[in-house]
Amino acid sequence: MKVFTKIYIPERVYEEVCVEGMPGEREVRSTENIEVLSVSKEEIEKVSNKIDLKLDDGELQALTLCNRLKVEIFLTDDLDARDAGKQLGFEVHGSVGVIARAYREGSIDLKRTKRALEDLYSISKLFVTKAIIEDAIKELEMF
Amino acid sequence: MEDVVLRELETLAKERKEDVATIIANAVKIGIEKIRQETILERYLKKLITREEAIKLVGTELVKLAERQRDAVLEDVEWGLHG
Repeated sequence: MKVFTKIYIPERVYEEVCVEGMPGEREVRSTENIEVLSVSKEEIEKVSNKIDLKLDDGELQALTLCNRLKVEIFLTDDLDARDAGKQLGFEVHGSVGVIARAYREGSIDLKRTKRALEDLYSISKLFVTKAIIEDAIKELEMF
Repeated sequence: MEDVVLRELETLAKERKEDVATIIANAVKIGIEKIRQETILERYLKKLITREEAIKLVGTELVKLAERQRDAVLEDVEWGLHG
């Protein structure tokens, strides 16, 4: 979370993540640079009309916020949302990118970085095969 | 995490009007199928089988999903380390 000066998340995503026992729940609740903002139905509709992909509420709200705040980076692990973000002209990255960035900036050591990547495979709901994570770890080890 | 799983298990059993053992048996069956698919996708991503073989074994949709996920991860690693 320290990789970014400020992180904005929409209410819907906050509600989805902040369920007791969910991965990331504690971190999202306790991180000071996270701001939760609401978006209106009208705003969501405007953004929704600009993309040709069907997205869930949380992703749509997040993209709507990006659009309103004109942020540089849209963070998501949803592949369709990733494509939609690019369609709207945002730079899009996911958990793997954030973890790699934190490692590069020295916020976490290699051991913790590897564990965080492995957790993406074993704990998160992200669709990712072990082979993909192993490739990412190899890249990190070569850095 | 274990608490969440246990709670979900109990909720599902109640909702589906099935006993917990049946839910677990189904979960194992579904889990094994998922691991089979993942093993095939890993073989494909490691270039041990061709794309055509992978499609024959798990279907186009999953192969395309794995390719998209691989591309996203590689893009992220590149940005994270060098971007």
